[in-house]
Amino acid sequence: MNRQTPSDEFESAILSHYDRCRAESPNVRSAILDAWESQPRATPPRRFSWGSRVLGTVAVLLMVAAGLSVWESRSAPELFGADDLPERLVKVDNFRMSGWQIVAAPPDSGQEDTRLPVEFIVERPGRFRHTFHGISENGKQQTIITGMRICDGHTEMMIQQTMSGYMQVPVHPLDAALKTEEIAQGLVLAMVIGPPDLRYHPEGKAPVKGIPCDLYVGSLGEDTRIEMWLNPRTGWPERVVHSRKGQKGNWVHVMEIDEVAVNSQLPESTFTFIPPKGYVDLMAKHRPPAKDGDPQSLDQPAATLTMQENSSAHSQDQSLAVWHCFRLESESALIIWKRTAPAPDANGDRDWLHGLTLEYRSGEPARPLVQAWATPPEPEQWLWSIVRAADGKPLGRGTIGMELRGDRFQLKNGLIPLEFPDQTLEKLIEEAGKLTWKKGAATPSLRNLRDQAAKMKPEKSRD
Amino acid sequence: MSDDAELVRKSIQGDRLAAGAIYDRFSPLVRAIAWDATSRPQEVDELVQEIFLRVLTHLGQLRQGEALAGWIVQVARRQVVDFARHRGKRQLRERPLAEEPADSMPANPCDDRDRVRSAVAQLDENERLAVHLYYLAEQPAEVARQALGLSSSGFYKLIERARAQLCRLLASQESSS
Repeated sequence: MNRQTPSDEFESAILSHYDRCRAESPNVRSAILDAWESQPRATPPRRFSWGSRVLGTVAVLLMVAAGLSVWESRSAPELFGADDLPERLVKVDNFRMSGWQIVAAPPDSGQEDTRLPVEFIVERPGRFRHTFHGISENGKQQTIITGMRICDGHTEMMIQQTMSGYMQVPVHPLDAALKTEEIAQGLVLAMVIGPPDLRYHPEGKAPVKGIPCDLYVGSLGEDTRIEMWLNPRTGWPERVVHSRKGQKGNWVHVMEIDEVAVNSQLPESTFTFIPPKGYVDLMAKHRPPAKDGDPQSLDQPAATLTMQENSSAHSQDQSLAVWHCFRLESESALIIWKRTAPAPDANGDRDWLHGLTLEYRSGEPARPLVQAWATPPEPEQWLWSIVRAADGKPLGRGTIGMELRGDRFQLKNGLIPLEFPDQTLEKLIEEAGKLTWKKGAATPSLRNLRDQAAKMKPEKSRD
Repeated sequence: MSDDAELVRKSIQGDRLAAGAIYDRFSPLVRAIAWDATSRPQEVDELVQEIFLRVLTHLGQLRQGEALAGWIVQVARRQVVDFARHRGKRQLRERPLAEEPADSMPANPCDDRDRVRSAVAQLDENERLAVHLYYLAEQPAEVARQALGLSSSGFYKLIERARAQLCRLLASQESSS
């Protein structure tokens, strides 16, 4: 008998077990469908009105009564899990997460660890506020710089608490929206929820502040883990703790998020900053004067969108830069980018994809991407590339890896395809088109880009 | 799996036929996952009901209908973990008031199917799912990609290992009986 693969005898028993799985139990199907038809549908949380909330509450109460007769003493199913938390956060109007970052004291310094307050607040479409800090160590001497970024939709402020100074610049509303989503879909997800390839596993139930929660744990290698206590009724975490393994093998907290509020009423003061006495405007002398000679007013937003490199990599004579990357649909994205013009061939043509690799990273292995030009590439211009996975399947949560490689250089960029409502994405494409294309050239619409993406056939990516 | 998205869309709109089609397509796989948690047919039915009720009432949260299969697998595995945990607590708290009816008793342990069930239950969690997918899913590699993040080759390596292990477990059962 072959012990490496199931023998015919075993195969027959296995098939018999699976036949049992295919066999229908009487009434189960109809019981499920009947119960489903009498249940309210769970939809992603979004803006609500009190009217609909009251009606919803009444409906829920009625359903509870109806459900009791169907399910007798069985408890109601839980409403939310951790899997789709990032996707649900993209849809909310605002959220606030706050807690503590624990900065370890230098080894053998005899000092206590430092607990720094952390806060991330996002209010779509273009307001945010978040803390940041930097640490430098020189032997047992540790220096911590703390600060905060605030954007009220038309002015961005950078407050450097350690220097008692601040900077503020006007921003275009679309720039404010871009920065807001970079924080919401990039910074917050990476710092609080974890990177795209992190997989959470349920670890049972554990109350937080008396609230029944499901505990999920995700590991980043062997030395780092994230624990999330998710309230299954609201779908939002009540607590998130990041830990790393200490020298003695124990878990040491590095971040604790204890307050999470979603779609709450945020006071206007959240996004304003009144400099405390003694704080200096670090930009005042660099700000161009207005026509009347006074410093330029910050009450008005910037007149145009800023198309500057948002991420870039450079070598001695080569560069790879990206303005932004947008999710067009679940399967495709638009990258607006630049590179050093490749040398022309004998016919004067340039291969703009020469040495470039595009892949999607959402776990192992990375998935190759296929590319199509939204417009013919030209030197010194932003390049518009539509990409989709070579396997033709949805991208899911992840990052686009761009790598430009030559004999003496290797430049890399990681991009998050930002997701926007169609209306905002259309405006972003229109404004970016005006700043990219030659005057008089037609700007492709969101619809054009999506149509083009849909026509791209799955194939092997070119290396 | 292109029509999974269509079934999801229609089910969200309340189409009973579409919801029934989802049940028909995935109930064998869900039932297999439920059998991993219990040997009692009645509990399997209850678990299947809980899993599908949760799936069907939360389809609105599924952003990509094409990922339905992987999502159902994840929901099912989570429900099974919860079930096992709650059952452990219940068994500690409760004592039976009367003898259980015959149909809720574990099936005959000498039954070939239960030997297989028992052997499958001893596999590693991912191996177990791979075996279920291999025997029950229409496109096992695709569902494995969605549910386990595995490439096709990764899935086939896993299934090869799992089936070999299953064979060893069944052979061991055979020799001990």
